Amino acid sequence: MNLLEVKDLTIVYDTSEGTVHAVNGVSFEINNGETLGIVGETGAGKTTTARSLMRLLPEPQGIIKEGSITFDGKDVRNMSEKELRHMRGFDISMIFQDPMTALNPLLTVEDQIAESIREHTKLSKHESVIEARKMLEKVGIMAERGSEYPHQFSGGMQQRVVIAIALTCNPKLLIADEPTSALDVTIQAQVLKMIADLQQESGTAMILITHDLGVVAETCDKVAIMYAGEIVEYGKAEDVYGRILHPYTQGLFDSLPSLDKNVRRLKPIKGLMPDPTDLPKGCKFCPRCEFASEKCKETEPPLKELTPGHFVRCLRYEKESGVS
Amino acid sequence: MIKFIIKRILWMIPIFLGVLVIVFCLSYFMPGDPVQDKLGSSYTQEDYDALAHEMGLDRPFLVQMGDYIWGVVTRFDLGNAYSSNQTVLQMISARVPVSLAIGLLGTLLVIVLGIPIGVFSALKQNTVADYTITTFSIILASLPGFWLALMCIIVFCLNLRWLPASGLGSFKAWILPVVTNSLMSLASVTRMTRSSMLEVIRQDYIWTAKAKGLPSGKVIFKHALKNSLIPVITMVGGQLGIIVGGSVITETIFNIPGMGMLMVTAINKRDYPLILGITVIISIFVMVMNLLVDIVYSLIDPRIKSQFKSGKKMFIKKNDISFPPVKGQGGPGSGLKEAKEA
Repeated sequence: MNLLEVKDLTIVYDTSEGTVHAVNGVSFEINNGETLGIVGETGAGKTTTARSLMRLLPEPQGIIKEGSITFDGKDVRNMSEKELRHMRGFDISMIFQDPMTALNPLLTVEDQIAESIREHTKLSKHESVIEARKMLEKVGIMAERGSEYPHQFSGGMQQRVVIAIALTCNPKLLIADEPTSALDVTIQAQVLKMIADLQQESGTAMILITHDLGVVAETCDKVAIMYAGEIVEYGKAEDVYGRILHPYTQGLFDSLPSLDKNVRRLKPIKGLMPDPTDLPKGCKFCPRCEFASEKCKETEPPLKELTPGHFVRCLRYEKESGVS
Repeated sequence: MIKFIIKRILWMIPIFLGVLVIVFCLSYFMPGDPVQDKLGSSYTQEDYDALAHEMGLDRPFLVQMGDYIWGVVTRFDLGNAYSSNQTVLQMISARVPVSLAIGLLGTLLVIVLGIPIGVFSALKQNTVADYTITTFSIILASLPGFWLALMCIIVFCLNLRWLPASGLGSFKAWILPVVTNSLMSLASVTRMTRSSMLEVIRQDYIWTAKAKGLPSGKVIFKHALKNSLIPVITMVGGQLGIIVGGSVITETIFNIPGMGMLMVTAINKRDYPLILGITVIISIFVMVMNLLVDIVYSLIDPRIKSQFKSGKKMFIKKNDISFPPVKGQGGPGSGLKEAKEA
């Protein structure tokens, strides 16, 4: 059985300017210890998908409209507030994008870690602080610095504290939402390496949300490419990287700088993502796609399993015989 | 912490001296002649000169000011009142307790009611309860205090006959002065708490707290409330200083013998030393309140304390740099090459 199974997840935000279709029929699954990379540009619905797994969408605007989320055999959509609290931080935890704002400025870092431990175990205040300090050492911070406040740490150190908070209860699933985007380039690799090491050590499954295809290649078993709230390509990392199917995925690769080719200019994907309050009828990517035909504007392409485990949402592969 | 407080208190000395100079200048250059007032309509030049000499008003301006400031600083001597034969300090200290009691009770009301109502309103954002609270607080904050006090008297004292309209004879008599005196602050504090709370509960660290699995009570009281109170404390502190100094309007309307009433009498009688003394005392209240606010601040927010730790760089520490380098080298990106080659 899979640790996490997401099926046809559809999420909308009800705002005064209209309904925002943030996530439209997303499905994926993760096994114990596996890493899934979700890649896509800003506004593709990556963070919304991730937050919905813990039911941490902004209320009352964010609504899970359809689909199911099954974690460890339990239906997350129908969980009570108590079950949710038990799951958050204990079974699933999350690393947020910006460490500078993800820590409470008025509490010491050890207190912020220990708080999570106390919530999920029966340890006393003193014992939980000792545990918190052990956790700090694990992420490369001296235990004595536990009594300091977040503003006394650099950005990279703050992100380590955030990681310590997330991993302190040995969760089964870790959601890392662009954990290095807000960090200095020089320490991005360090932090990622540390997350990957700690993940491997504890056998935690991970969802890594990122813009960086390189990071995905290095750390992920599976990749999901998201565009306008849909998964456009999904499969094992080696399959996707070995044979790029969707034009959007190809566009993402082309817009990366490369060392081995003599390229003077990067090739960006032309155009902008469609307005999520008013999505196009057919293929969401077709206004920006160089292969788009008249049919693409009318027909919504289904997610097709082309080779075992490798899915793509594009009409160009309509006629190819897939896995049925 | 102690260093911080001492530093803060030392800063009050130049501020206090500055206040004394400004206040003295203001009263010196106020129109009207106290000597003439005292003598009445018929007097000779000799009488005038003699009295001016007796009151020390024939001396040069700077000597008068220096003498006054020296008296205040060394002996806390605020001079003698013109309108009675008591010293200014005696007159004021007879009035302070009443104003202090009304002010503190009012502030207590503001804190006990304003903050919880503000928090409640923020948590129920965009509901009927929230709209009601917001509307009422806007109305209350914009009503003139004297009008509100008069309306209260008409309703509760004249029509319903529940409460007495003046004096402080019984427990009941305290209700109206305290409430009307603090209603405006109450409304502003409620609004401030609400907006500050709304800002804080959208912060990322609130999501972090929720993602830890904390119950909503802990998220709100441990993480959100403390952070949102910082601007509220400034506001309460600032108003407390002024409230304690006595409210001229409330005390006049309800006929309460406090600082505000004394101020009015002093101004009517052109009792310059008394006006000066009251102003000095109020400014001391305001300074002390600001000191308290700053201390409370630094107790709540660790970032403020570290501003005062001079010369100590907080950001880069040794072990920040010495983290082991990544195996395999290359940043995020390098794996891409490998993958493409594969």
